[in-house]
Amino acid sequence: MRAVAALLASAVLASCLSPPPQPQSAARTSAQAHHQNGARALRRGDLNAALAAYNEALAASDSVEDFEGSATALLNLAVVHARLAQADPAQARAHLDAAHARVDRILTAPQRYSDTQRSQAATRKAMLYLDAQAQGLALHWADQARAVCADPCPLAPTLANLRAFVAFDRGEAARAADQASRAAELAAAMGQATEHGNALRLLGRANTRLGKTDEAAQALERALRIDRDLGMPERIALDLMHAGENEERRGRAAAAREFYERALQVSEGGNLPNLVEVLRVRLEKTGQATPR
Amino acid sequence: MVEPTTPSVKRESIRRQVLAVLALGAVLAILLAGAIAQRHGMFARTHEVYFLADSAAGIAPGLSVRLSGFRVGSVTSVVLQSDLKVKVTMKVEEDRAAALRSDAHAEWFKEQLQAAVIDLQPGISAQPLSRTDPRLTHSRRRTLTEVANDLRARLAPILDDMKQLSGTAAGSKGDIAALLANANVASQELAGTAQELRALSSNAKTRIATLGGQAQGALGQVQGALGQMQGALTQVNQTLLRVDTLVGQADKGLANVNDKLPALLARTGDTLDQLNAVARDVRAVSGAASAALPNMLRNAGPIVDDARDMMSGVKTSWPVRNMLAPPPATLLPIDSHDAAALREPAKR
Repeated sequence: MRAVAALLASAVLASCLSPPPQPQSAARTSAQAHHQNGARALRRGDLNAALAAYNEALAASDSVEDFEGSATALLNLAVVHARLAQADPAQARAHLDAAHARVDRILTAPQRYSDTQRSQAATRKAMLYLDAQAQGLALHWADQARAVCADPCPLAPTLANLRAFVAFDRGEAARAADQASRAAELAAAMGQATEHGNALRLLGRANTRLGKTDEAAQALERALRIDRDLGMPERIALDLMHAGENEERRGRAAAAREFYERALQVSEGGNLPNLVEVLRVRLEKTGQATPR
Repeated sequence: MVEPTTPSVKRESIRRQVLAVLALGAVLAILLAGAIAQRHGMFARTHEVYFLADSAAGIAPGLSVRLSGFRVGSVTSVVLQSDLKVKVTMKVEEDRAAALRSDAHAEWFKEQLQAAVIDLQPGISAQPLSRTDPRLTHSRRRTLTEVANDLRARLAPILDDMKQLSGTAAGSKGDIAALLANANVASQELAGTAQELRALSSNAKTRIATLGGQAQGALGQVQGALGQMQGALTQVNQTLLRVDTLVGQADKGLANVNDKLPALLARTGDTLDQLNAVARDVRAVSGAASAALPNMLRNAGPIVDDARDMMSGVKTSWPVRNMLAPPPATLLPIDSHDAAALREPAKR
């Protein structure tokens, strides 16, 4: 009993005697609050509110020359601008330019930002070029990102997936399958489930194109399992849709329809109008009238 | 010199002390049990009253019975009768039960997150509650969910009406624009007519002055002047005819305005009447809602603010702040799926 009391007393004393915490500047506290607001806005899909919050965070970090904070704000702003460009085609050009300007601030000041931050900025830039159909520039910036990313590079699976997609889009299905396979291995080794799912989805598409429909079906089934575990409707719908394409390639129209029906159901439930539209067309082409 | 105490004396002393402590503990336990029993009204004289309810939902033996906010008893039994009514019997303190009148009322209510209670209203009748058949009237206060559902059911048609009204008002925009255009044309024509009349009168003045000067010198020219006068008068007539035409057009425009204005005003009046009715309904509904919503809901804002203040105070106070790391600025994950190109369906 005495021992317990002594232990408790010493614990209380230790906590009381611990040195006072380093006071945090108001600007850093404000930046962190704005970051949290931005993340909350993104979760509820309010891109404009997220943009405003991250801009506030950037201003707060800039005001005290907090390079780490400003790098985070700049990278998050690039994500928001990219999503705004996808959501609003009329303003896409302006948003893509703004996104490039954000990452360029990091890439053009290597003395201020760490290699990790620069590799993240370069990866984001590669994705922006991919969205702008500039595949050569996308590959260039993927190489830049890999060059400054120290091993084991956490961005390696993402970059491998980007390279695989460029090959796939250029019609080089065999190269795409190789790259996607490598991306899947890297992602699995690093425990990056989202990139693992992305890689398997791409591997399935490449194998379908190569006529390796059995391998494609296996890869897409694994991707579907991962995406289901992650609970991501858009990726689940894409997995199902690509599985349907693979079945069409096999000449199994009924199985393809079944996958398209499932993908349509997920797309409708997940409020994904673009996919719903595409899937309705496919169902009509495969001879199954949509119920609505 | 003090003699050393023997061990047996010492033992006896310790034994007595232990017994004293045990006795004290037993006395305290008895006192506590007594206090609890008294608190539960075991020594109080009680009187039974009852009411008949349509349902026993939310009512169970032990449920508190309150009078003026104080606990005066509890539900003792809940029995389903042959006519499917539920007889709820309550035990109420004798002196409180004496205050109940023949129109006493028992109201069941349940605030959010709090236990249900039966609130007694003693009544205002001159007759006391019957001793042989102490039956109270009964009602249930609506719960927050019921109030919210009622509010939704009443607001939805009002919002539909407002949508319809705003559509009607938007549809009338064209009529108003045409009316204003007609009025504008008529006013422009009237202004033109006035200018012509002014020019005509000055012209006539000039001609008359000229004729007056010439009349003194040459009577022979009178005839010619008269002819000119005739011409001038003809012009005046023609101008007057034009004025007449223009006035006719203006009259037509005004008639058009007269035709359309009453209908438009009537529609506007109807719209305003409907808007007034909607506003009245909204006021009535919001009044009813503010009266019906429980205090907890009305106080939710300050409670949340208080809670937030408290939490932020706790988080920033020593020594808790030593234990909590400040939340870092989070970087959004970099995911190849972010690239829209990877999400697009395959080209077909």
